[in-house]
Amino acid sequence: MILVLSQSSHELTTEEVMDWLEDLGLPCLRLNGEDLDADSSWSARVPGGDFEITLDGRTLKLAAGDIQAVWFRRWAHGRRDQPVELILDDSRERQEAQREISSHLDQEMARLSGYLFSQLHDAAWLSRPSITRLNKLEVLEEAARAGLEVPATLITTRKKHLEEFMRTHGGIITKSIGESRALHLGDYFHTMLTAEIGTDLIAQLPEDLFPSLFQEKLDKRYEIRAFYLAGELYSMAIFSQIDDQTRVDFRHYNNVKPNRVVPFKLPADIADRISRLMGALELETGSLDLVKTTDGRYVFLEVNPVGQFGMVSKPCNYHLEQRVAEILARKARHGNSPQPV
Amino acid sequence: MQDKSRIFMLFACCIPVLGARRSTICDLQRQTFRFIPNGLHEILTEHRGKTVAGIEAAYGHEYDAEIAEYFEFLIAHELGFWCDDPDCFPEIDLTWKAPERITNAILDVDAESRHDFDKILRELDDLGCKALQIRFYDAVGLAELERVLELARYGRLRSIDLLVRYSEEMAEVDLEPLLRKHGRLSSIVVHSAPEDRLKRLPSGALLSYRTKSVDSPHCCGEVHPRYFVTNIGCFSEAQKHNTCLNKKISVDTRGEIKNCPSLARSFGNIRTTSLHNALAHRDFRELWSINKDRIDVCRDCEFRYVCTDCRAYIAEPQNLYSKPSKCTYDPYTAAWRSA
Ligand code: SF4
Repeated sequence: MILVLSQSSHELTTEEVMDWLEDLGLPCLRLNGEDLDADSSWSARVPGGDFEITLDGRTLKLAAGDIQAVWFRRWAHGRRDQPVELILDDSRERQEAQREISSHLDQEMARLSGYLFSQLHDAAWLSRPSITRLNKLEVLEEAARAGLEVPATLITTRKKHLEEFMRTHGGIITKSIGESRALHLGDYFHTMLTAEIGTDLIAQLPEDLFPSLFQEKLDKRYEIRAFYLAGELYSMAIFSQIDDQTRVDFRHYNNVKPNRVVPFKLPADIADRISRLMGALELETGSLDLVKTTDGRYVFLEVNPVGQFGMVSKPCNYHLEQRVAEILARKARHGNSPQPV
Repeated sequence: MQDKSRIFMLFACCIPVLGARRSTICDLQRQTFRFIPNGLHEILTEHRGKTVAGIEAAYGHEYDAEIAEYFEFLIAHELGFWCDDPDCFPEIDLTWKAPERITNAILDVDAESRHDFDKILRELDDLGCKALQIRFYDAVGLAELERVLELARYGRLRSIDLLVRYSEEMAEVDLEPLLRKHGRLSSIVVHSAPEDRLKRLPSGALLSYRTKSVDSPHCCGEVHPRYFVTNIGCFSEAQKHNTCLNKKISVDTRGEIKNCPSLARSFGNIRTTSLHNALAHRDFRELWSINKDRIDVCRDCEFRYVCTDCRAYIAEPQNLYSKPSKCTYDPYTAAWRSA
């Protein structure tokens, strides 16, 4: 049995991979993160007990011994948000307490997921969740060691150093050191994307900054999104430069005239270095961002260990959903040993 | 001034298709097509990967001005780009694949039908069917619609399109809640309605009232640019398959299992056999592979990979490879005959 860990019910990529698994004759079971906390009921006995879950009116036993392979597609909780009655008059205090409780409940769920995953330790995973959070800075170090070119990067608390960096590189950008987050303020969602910063903005900054990351702004000919899947590399070029709206970060989508995206073949030496990097990071899957500069260099930006492969697979017609199913089938049969499909 | 040593490349999602009189570039990403002269088609295909100078020379420098103009047109419409590394830009692989044994189905219903919806839906689900159209030619009650949709609630269907006859019960206030409740319901089209009206819900679902009456399968099979679909799914499927009948199964009003309700041949009645059995018949898939490249006239048409097909209503009923009879386009003159 193959266990598919996913989220929410309408997740097209998950459904497509499961259709291919069925085509290959492999039974699979899907568990959404929300199933643990939203509309289902379940219990588990520790130690060694099976998870017993009731989904859509059916009761299932999730016994670690029955699961040969796990596909970690994604995992998120939609925590049961039962309001907690608090005996506090001050509304500000109440708000703070609510926030504390909420973060405590998140932690409870995280521990619980951790336990579920560790129970499945002996199965062959397509991407173990323990490695799904990477440190961008460590990744840059590893990429450089693997022979990939990385952008000049400065992390500083000194405005003076930032100004020097700006003088050396002309244009610079900033982005978060860790994961970018979405902030929900009032009616708006604010997302943290890569942003260019100019001398005007720098002039307004105080001398002392919160430790912040800056990188040289690359003159892009096009961007490359490459999906790495168990030793194979599927790439796509993104022409974000035709359009002003997406020039700095292609995630500022233009919905009227979407960026041109086409299949791309990385030169063999760059592909080799990427494999070396993925090996060093012990990643079996990942979505990599690179830039081809106007002067013809390939510069590595970052890797996302889970990554959406649908956005590469669909426009390039790579059928990666089928490929993922084949790799899971191989894992279910042979475990993690690398055998050709 | 153009630099003559440059190489022009179409974006791989923009694919030139040669017609008898003119050609198209099918833009599978932005889902449109543009007409180009056949001369430009030749430049883009036979001279693919050559420098501008190379192409000019190939035509004995007779058309230098036209060639420059062509490339300006292609760049201005973002159909391609000047490329320094052509080896990195492969053509898109047009292999079509689907894991499902059946991808889409039609179920016809009239006042005399005695369908076992539960059985049909279960069998479709087992075959992996993703899209279902149910056509009610005669009046149907709201409670009956609700019952059928409830049966389809937990299956693998991704979209259900309903065609229903207008009646008092088919008012907007009744059908809108239905669309909201059943997320897979992508459209309800009400035929024989008192007026033409169209409403799109925030979810994207469509509620449409049409005065035209649809009282039998004969109303299907029309060929018109408004039915063209220019995307990678259809374009790649059309390379080797019939875009209407491939992986389709149908049950007509009498329960006969067919490729399409408009076709004569039955592979058994759903009351006495199963969809699986019908599908297993060696002739059931015969029509699936009749793509436009194998159909008279269509094979010379620049729309052949974005056009729908119909094998039920054809120009010469004796000739399975004749053109759809409801098409009024003539690729040899590049003109639509006005109806
Ligand atoms: S000739 Fe054939 S391909 Fe062309 S529009 Fe008519 S039916 Fe479609």
